[in-house]
Amino acid sequence: MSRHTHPASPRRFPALFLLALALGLAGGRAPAADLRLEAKLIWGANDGPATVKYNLADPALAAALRHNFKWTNYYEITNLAAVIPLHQSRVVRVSDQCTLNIRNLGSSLVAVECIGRGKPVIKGTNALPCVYAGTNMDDTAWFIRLRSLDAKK
Amino acid sequence: MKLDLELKLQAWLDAELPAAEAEQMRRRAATDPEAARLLAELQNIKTALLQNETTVTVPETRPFYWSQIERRIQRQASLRPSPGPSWAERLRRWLAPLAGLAALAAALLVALNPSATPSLNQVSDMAEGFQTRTFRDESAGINFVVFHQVPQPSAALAGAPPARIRNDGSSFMTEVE
Repeated sequence: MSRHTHPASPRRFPALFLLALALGLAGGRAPAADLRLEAKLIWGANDGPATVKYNLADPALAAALRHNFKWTNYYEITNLAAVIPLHQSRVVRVSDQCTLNIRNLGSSLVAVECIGRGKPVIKGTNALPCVYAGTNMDDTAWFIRLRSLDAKK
Repeated sequence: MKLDLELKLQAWLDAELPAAEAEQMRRRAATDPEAARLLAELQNIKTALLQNETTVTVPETRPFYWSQIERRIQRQASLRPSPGPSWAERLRRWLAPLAGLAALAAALLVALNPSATPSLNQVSDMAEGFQTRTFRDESAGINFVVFHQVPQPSAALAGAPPARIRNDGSSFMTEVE
C-alpha cells in the first residue's frame, strides 16, 4: 500500500513558514523609493568663531573635514532638505552662486551636477554621503555635504 | 575418570581419532575396567539413539520442498511493515528546503541591504579649466570630490595646444600636450 502526502501536510509547514519569514524580512529592509536629502553648505577657514557670524558645523562633520583638509574651523552656512522621488531630479540652491541639480538613482546613489554662477562646473555620480569641495581665492574653502536623512550616520 | 579420557573414548567410538590414538584407546578399554564401563555405556546410548530416531518422509522432492520454504520466507518478509525513514533521511528532508531558503534569504539580504551600497565616487564631466580629485575617507565613510580652477597658462604657453581632459576611471586628470 503506497503512502500519500497531503499537500497541507504538517511536514511542509516549516518550509512554508521559513519562506514567509525570509520574504517578510527582505520586505522590511526594502529601501524607500524617495530620497530625503540633506544639503549643507560649509565654509572652511582659519578664522576663529569670535570673528565669524556663522555657527560652527556639527563636530562629527567638522572632524571629518579637518581630517582631510587644512582649515581649522568649519562653519555651517546653509542647511537644506529636499525629497527626491526615485529616478527624478531636484534643483537645490545652496547659495547665490552655487546650485546643485541632484537626481535620485536609488540605493543611496545620486547623480550630481554642480552649477556655479550659472555655468555647469562638474558632473558626477556618488554614493551618499558625499562632500563636494572647492577653494576660494582668499585661501578659504567651501564644502557641500550631501547625505540621506534616512541613513543611520 | 578424567574428562580428557572420557572425550577421547567418545571420539574413538565415533571413529574420529587417528589410528595411533585409536589403538591406544582400544588397549585402555581392554585393561581399564572403568574405561570399559564408560565405553559400554556410550555404546548403549549410541545404539538407542540410532534405533529410536524417527524418520520423517517428505512427500515432495528435496528441491521442491526447499523452494516452498524459500517462497514462504520471502512472502513473510514482504508482509513485514517497512521501518520508517532513517534519521539521516529525515534530516535530509529537513535540510534540503532549509538550505534553499537560506540561500534565497542571503541573496535577498545582500541585494536589498542598504549598507552594501558601493562607494561610488565618479566624476563624469567637468568644465574646462578645472581640476578635480576624488577620494574616500573610510573612517568617516564619506566620498569627497575636490575641484579647483587651474591657474591660467602663462604667456609663454599661450600658443600651446589646449589642455586635454582624461578620465582615468576614478578622477579626471588634466594633461597639457
